[in-house]
Amino acid sequence: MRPRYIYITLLLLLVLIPAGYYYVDWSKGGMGAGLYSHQWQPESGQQYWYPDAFYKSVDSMSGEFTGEQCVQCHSSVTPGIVNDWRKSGHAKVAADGSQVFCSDCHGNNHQNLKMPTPDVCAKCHSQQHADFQDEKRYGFPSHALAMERAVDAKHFVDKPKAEVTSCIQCHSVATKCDSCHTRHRFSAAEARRPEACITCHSGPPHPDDATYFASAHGKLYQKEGASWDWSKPLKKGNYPAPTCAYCHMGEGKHQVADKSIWKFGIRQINPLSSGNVVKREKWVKLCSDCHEADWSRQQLRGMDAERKQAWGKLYKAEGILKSPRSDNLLSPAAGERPPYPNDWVDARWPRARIGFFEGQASAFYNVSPIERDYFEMWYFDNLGAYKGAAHGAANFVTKGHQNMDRALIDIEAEAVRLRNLGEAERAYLGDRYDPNKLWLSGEYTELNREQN
Amino acid sequence: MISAFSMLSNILLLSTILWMTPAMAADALVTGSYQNSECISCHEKDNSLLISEWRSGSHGKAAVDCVACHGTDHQQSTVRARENHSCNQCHGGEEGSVSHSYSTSKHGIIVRLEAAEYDRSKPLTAENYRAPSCAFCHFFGGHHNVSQSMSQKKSAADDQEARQQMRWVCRQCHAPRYIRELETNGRKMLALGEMKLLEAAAVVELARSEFPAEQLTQIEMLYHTMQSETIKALRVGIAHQSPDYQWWHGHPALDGKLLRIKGALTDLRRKRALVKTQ
Repeated sequence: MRPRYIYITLLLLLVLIPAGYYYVDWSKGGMGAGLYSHQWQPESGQQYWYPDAFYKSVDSMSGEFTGEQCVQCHSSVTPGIVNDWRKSGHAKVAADGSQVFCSDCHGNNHQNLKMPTPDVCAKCHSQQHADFQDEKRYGFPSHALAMERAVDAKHFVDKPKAEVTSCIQCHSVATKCDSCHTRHRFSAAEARRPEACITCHSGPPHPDDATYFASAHGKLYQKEGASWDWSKPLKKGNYPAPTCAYCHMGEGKHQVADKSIWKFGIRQINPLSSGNVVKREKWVKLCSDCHEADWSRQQLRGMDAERKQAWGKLYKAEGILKSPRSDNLLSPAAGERPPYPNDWVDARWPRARIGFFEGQASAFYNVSPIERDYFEMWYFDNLGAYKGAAHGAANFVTKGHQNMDRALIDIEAEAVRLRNLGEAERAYLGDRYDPNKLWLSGEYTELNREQN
Repeated sequence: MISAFSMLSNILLLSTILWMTPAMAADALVTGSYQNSECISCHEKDNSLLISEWRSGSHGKAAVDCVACHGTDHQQSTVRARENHSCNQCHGGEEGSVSHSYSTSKHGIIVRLEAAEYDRSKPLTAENYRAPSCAFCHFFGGHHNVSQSMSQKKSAADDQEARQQMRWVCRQCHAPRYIRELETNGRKMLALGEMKLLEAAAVVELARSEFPAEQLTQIEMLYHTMQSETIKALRVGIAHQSPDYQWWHGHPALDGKLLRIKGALTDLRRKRALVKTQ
């Protein structure tokens, strides 16, 4: 006779697995989107960035219109976009006499207009769409999962929605195609050029633009790029120097994740795992369009060394920070600062989060200065060095590491200072310092706590 | 009332565009090099509106004269003022927040990529340019009062008018509801930034009331940067549609300054408490 617990376990699994699926499904059914959809409501402007979830048609005009009628009327209502369309591939008359009109993507009924999503584009551009969707199996980071990543982040749900609209403008790369091919020209040539990427791929945590333009590849592009023939596909022999898309979306494959090794730099990976070795050979093959394979391998090994060194510095900083946390020397301590409004675990058992796995990625507000120093070291200096190493901009590597070294010295000194201060307070005041309500009150802090 | 006014101003703007068109072409025919006083004396006769618009805007008031934007070569004068770098030279350079928030926005990107195709001797209309340059929005239709479409620091009525004017510029390409939604969201996003500034101001006030000025250097510097640079980065990020400036140079940067101001006050108070015991 089999022991009873086998049957009990099986029975529990039979109940719990469907219940889990049901719960996840239910959690996505609220007014917002994603796993916390019951806890937030979108700002009305967010409909343009996440049309699938939030877009509502205008109802100011009624009637059904043909494509020609749309063009006729909008030539005076919004002349710029009609001009764009006229110069686009969509306006070209095909062999069978057809054109892609406004109504083919937006619908005919003016009170039930559609904001085109990738699925709409897929009706004709099925291969590109399939490549794009295929990214999902590689997990984050990827373009295709970018919107889920945004709305499933607690700090997105926690903050006022008008503030975090700034996030979903870039994360909308998952939910519409005009992030790279701007409307209503939708030009492949435009998306092949590095500038197409930099509206999102710029700024402190991902200076892809600055590092690329500072590299030898980028310098050649800036000097000569305007005269290259951008109508050519992104493959060997067509371009004198690579662009973002040449390397990350080689031969026009709408997929940036299949060669991704370092995962945007936000977690430490083993570059020598069997999977990553296979991916690395794909990079070497790509570099070999211009460079010798051995030379390329050497460059990539240089990046391994840079990353190893950077992670060493980050772990050191994390180690320094964990000690004042465990000795309750951070001020404000976790319970003295506003908890993340939706984080009930954090509200009940406050704990300062340090490092990627504890959620440091979201800890750029409601924290003490020393924690923010570490966040900036990790998110700005470290990731800047990473991008410099990946894109061949040596000065960014140097600058990033210099900044990390300086941050490390400051963090170490600050930790010592906090310890001395805390010990002096215990000795002379008999207690740790109470910051009272300083961190829990204020114009914005209260609004964020009460309205979220 | 507002909509009647806006229609009227739209008609006025349109007629200005149509009226400017032949004038621009004629400008390019005049050769030679001119200085500011010569520009003014001639154009006051030929187009006094232009001069009075310039005088009443912030450029005229700050003595940013004709040649600053147009250069001295008459044949190149219009084309030159329509180039973005004419504005960048004063407005923070290419890496400054004003210019960089624009040049990394989709508008800025399109202009960068297609600059070679644009004929800048043509008037600033959507027919002639696929995406707006600085002058396209801020001197739309060729008017010369750079302040008239800036909504900042104005009376409520002037602000309404300025917003109405800028909406009309957006309307060249974008749908009315889209403009309204982005403007509404942008205003809320800015208001949230201003709340962070207010929260910081209250902490700075506390610090000033508790400690002498010589102990407040760090707090004052942080607050000054927040007030002058960080909120500006957010504002231009919103106005120029740059997610990077709205976010990384904007809101989280304000968060960082705010928490450091609170941290600095906490430190001063802790030291004071210790000193009292000794």
